[in-house]
Amino acid sequence: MTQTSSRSFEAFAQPLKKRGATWFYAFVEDAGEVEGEAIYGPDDRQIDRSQLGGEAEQYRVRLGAIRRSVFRSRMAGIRKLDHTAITEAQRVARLHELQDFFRETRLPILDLYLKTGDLPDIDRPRVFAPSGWLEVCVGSRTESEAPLVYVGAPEFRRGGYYPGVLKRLQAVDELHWGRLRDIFSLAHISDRPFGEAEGRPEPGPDLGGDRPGYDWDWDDPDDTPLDEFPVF
Amino acid sequence: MTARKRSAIADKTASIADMNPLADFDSLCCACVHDVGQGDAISIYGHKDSECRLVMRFDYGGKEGSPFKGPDDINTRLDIGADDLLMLSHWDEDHWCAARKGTSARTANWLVPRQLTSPRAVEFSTTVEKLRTIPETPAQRPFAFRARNGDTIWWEKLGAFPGVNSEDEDCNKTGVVLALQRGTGGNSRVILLPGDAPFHRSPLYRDLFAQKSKLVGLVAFHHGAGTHWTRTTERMLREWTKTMPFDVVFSCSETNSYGHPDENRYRRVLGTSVPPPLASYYLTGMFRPTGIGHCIWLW
Repeated sequence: MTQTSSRSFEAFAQPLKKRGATWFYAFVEDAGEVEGEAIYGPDDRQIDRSQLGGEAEQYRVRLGAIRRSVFRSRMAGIRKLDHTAITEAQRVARLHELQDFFRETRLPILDLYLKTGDLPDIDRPRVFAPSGWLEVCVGSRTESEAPLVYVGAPEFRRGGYYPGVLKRLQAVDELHWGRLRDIFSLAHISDRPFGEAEGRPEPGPDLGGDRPGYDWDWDDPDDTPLDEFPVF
Repeated sequence: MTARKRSAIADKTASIADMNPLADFDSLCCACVHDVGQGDAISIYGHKDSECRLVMRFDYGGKEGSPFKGPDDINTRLDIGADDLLMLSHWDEDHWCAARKGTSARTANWLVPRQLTSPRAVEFSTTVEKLRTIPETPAQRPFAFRARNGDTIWWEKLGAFPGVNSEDEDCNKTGVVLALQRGTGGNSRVILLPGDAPFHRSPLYRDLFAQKSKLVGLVAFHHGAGTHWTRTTERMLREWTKTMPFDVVFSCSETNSYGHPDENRYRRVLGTSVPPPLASYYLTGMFRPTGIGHCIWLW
């Protein structure tokens, strides 16, 4: 079982303060306008809106991250899988490899806040599409007026949590993108076999031709969204 | 981790018992939508030996504004046994993260959708002893857990896993939805538990709607978000709720970063019934200040 100690968070946080910048690989969990009255940070604690420029409109990208240097140094410890044909033995081996991998690996959440006009050259829905991977460089807040990035997690020690700034955002190169997809998958989990024993779920309900005559095309991709379709 | 510990997890991972958690129950009893702050955690109860007992849980979340005071508090409020079934609607952290903070849920029998997901979710999944994914073949096909009297917990995985190398995936559209049904056909009464999936995306919901089942309760999809709505979502919900009173539950904290819930949208869509308005609205945390309750009961 992986546990994150307060000591390990200090070790994680130190490079942000002293070296000025830390690179992460970051998985897009969701993105969209911040609409609520309260804003919560990656540690699930409420943060002062004044830190974000008061009532200014904010677009938040929530990212599940791992330090790039850590990933690169440890990814070789996890053997590549052909995800079209994984054996049970490979799943078990992958589980063991992941448990070793996570034992010493901290996984912060990054919350990137963008105001109107920030990063004007990027297509936000495309770049921040859910389940994509990005490379994010977070620097010390004193360096610029760049967009804020909060770094933390509920299990990290309280008080060691503070915002940095976005120094760079870029696509992941093909080699590491493939390894991120491979390693941070659910490949270590077996499917539950259905239909092999009594007590299996039953199919249904089968209504045959008994559907009422609603003139609706349920799967019409052009069905009019009532709002601009969100990113998350 | 020792080799012994590893093999113990592997053995358990490979031996989840066959399931119909309702098989030994006489009937469905009720659903409880827990106050976990932002996120879903729903308990489904049935009648067994003249008592109301837990059948299964659907999601185990709770993020922003959660009421939990530590692992023991989570274990108490969301009590779950090692033999209990815990289904996950999808892998967004607000649908499973209380299991990371607590301890007892890690020993339950998990059934989850295979999806693209975050490093944190993958890490958590390696700490759960009995975890299985839903095979892809039943996608878009509803399944049933049935009690002795025919009451049913329906569930379906909405879409197929796009593959580990796909560019993106909307996990709200490849996750799992549930419906509880008492009785059969047009005389039945149903409750919808859609996770974050818009109501009309579920073929199961469409079939229950087409059966003219009576809708008596629902958890608003995506915590009552005003996004993902289409005209079809509105029409379906409006048509389905014309005849009898029903409850709408918003599974979010009173304050959150998302602006949930968009209660006005629901009131606009559902409040036009021939008088009196039939919908009642509840926020999962609404009773928290009183200290007298930690969930909303449906049925």
